[in-house]
Amino acid sequence: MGADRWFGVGRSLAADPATAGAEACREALGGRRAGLLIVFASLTHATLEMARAVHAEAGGDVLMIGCSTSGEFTADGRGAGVVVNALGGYTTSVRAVPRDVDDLYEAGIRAASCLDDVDADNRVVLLLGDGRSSDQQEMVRGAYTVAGALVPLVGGCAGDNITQTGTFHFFSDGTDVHLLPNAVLGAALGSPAPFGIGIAHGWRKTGEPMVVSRSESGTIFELDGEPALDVYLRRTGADPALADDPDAFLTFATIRPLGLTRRTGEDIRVIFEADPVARSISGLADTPEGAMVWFMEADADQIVDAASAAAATATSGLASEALGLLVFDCCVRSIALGPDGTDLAASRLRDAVKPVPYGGFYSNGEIVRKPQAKGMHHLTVVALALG
Amino acid sequence: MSGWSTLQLTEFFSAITRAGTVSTTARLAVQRATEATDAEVAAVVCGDEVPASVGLGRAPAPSQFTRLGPGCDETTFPGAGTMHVTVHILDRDAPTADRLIVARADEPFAAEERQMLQGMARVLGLALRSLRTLETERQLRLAQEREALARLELVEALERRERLLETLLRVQRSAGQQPLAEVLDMITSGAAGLLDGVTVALVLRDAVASVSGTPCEGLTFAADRAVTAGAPITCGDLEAAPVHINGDVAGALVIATAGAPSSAVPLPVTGALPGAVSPSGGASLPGAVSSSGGVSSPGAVSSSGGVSSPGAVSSSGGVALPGAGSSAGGVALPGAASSSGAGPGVRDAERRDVLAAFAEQASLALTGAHTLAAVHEAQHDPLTRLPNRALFLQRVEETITDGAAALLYLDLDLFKQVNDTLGHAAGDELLRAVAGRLRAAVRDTDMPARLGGDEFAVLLDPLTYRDQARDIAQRVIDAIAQPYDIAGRTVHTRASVGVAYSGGRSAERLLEEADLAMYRAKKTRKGTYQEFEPEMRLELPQVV
Repeated sequence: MGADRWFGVGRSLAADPATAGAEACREALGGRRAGLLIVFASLTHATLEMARAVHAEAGGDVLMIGCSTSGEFTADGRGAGVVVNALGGYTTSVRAVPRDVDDLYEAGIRAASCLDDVDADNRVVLLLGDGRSSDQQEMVRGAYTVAGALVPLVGGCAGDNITQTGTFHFFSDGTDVHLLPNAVLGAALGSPAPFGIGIAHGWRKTGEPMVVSRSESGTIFELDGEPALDVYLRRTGADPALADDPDAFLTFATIRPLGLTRRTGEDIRVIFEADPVARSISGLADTPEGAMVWFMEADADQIVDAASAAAATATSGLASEALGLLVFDCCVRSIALGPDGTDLAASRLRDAVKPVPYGGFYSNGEIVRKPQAKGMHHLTVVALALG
Repeated sequence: MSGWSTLQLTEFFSAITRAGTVSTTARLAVQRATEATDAEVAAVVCGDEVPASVGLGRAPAPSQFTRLGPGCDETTFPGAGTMHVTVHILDRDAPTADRLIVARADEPFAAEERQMLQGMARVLGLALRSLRTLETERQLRLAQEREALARLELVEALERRERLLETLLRVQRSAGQQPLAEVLDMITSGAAGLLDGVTVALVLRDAVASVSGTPCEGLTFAADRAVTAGAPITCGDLEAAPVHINGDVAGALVIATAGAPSSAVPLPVTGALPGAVSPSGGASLPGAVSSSGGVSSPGAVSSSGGVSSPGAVSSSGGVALPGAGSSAGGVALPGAASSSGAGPGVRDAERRDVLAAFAEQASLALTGAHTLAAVHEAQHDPLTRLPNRALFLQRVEETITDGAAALLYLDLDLFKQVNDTLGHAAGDELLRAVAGRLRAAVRDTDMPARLGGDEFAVLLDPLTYRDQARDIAQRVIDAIAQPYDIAGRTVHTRASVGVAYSGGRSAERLLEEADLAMYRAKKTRKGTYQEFEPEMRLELPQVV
């Protein structure tokens, strides 16, 4: 069966979404018959027509998951279009949970229940979450109750070109094709060969710690007993007027995240919003009261290398060369690195992985739940190697 | 300190107190416990049931977990291989040994992690018990069988649980942010507050590090027994639970189950005790020393204001324990809840809960503070580095039972003027300099201490010849009288000294006698010493 497994990737930057979808899918398939398609499309290309075109190109009867992004990439480069990853020879099953399931814990359980259909020596659950939802960790917790210690969870959250407007998922359980806003998707993969997972970020904490003296979910009201926004602006040396300009604050704050103490390091919390009236700041994930947080600073070289480091870790766990990789790279890293740094990171990833094909996208939150990795991650790169 | 476990526990507190049902609470507990320790598997076991588990799929056989009991440190889960395990009992009073089980593959759980998980288990146990109490209360309401009083008491029991959790949370949040001594004081005063003002003491390395309420006899003895047993013990009217530093037993938290209510009330500044005059007679301190007198030490060591007479302490034997009718499940039963004693409505099980929970808090705080230096700090005056009042009294108590010893009580003259004219910084510098002279003037075997303000004391032990205490007292007076160079100025001060001799007296009594003698010296001729004589008691100033 090992000889039957394959992984192909295709990319198109064609302006018309459906055309781009069909082109990318054709390249990924290379004339083969796929068992599962994994589609990454920029917000401009995240349309039902694109999803249908991809699905039709693969023969019209194939499992498909996918999501909108803040940009995609393959070994051919990065851009805003469509990337299709096609897999054959793996045991696969998929689930979609629409946004009307507002209990994210329950959504995680339902998304991961695709695992019920897959029986294999090695299994993994691929999750595509919704980066706009409040606490994706709850989704991962729900999925973990299904997968347990034996089956790793891996994936990323859909992006929206950092517009904070909304995300889309593409789904097919074989026949119908759906475009789902703000959904959660799961795909179980089974194989006689192991899967490899890598994770890296390259940030480190700096300065004196602060105590979260008042918070609720992702909103921090007080740090060290002072209004959190005031502390944040003062400690980052920001212009106080920044609080009144949401776009400028977003750009400024996303690359000045906070780190939360954990046993094996820090959990990064990206701050994206300020409330100038309540003097609070908000991130996407829970920052509990009583926790100690630091500002995180970037070591440029380590951040550049995070993608290649994650990919190298993922492939190093396999007995033989990987057939392909899926890479989930936090969209905020591109802001921190700038265009040149992002290009450099991409080229180092390509050099590290060559000649193994890979497809990835810039995500709004990265998922790995396995020993030593708690679930949701931020400003991080996650790689899944398929053996 | 890493503070890692403290923060994890704080997060756990916050999450668990928000949950509303047994299953949600158990679910949160297993999630948080696994995430906090990077573990793969966790479960809550209640009797034969597993209300929540994570890591072995959606519906693992309960026997996977129910077979794991306390002491188990390794197991094999089918398909997952061998894992390190740690098991923590939620509620020692429950008949079913409910427990939190956490397992991970990569490495055994460190002492700090086990301690943190035990803290989580304890909070979970309290939360589950509260929820069950609530469920019971609902049933009671449905049945319409209870009288209004019973309901009221049930609500009060719930409120006490609520207060317990809130107090624990407050202490938890302070740990790592405030000086250790203050955190330890929060622990003793927090526990005392929940138990309606009984005496609670934290004994570390044979000395009282923090006490709330009226100190009573046998605290260190009870602590010693708990340390030896490595488990909670009952010793007459005292209950003690060991506290740990990095997993090693370092002392114990002690609760006096039958405090004397009158002794918990701060004495007025007067020569006579109001009301219950103690058999030992006239034990209250003279008004002149009221600023620093009394049992509670100034500053960091105790937050209680309870000034006691030694006589009043002896009344602590007479109060009966609350009735034995307490139910293990923690449901307040009408009647049983209103027994007299440590506090109205406080029952055995609740007291043990409080003791265990706060002993764990103390362990975490101490482990967090990490070093013996921190323990040292809790027993020493930060300004002069001399032992503080609590440690001093402790040592005196231990010393005076075997052999001839004496106690010097020093009060500085002119100190206030230095403070007023040169400022507090200069005053502090003078106190440090005096402490240095004092150290140099006494022998290595003697123990100088700062009692507070400008008052010092020295334990002279042993005395080897008749006038030795007088000689040392004079030496101390002469040393302190030498001029000081403070803030570029030449400053003079002098000490008035009281001397009292051991001989079957308690430490408190001995200190009091030395104080009275010092008072006489100060009154007759400042900068000299006086030895205590019984008639000095008659000269107490009468304050109306």
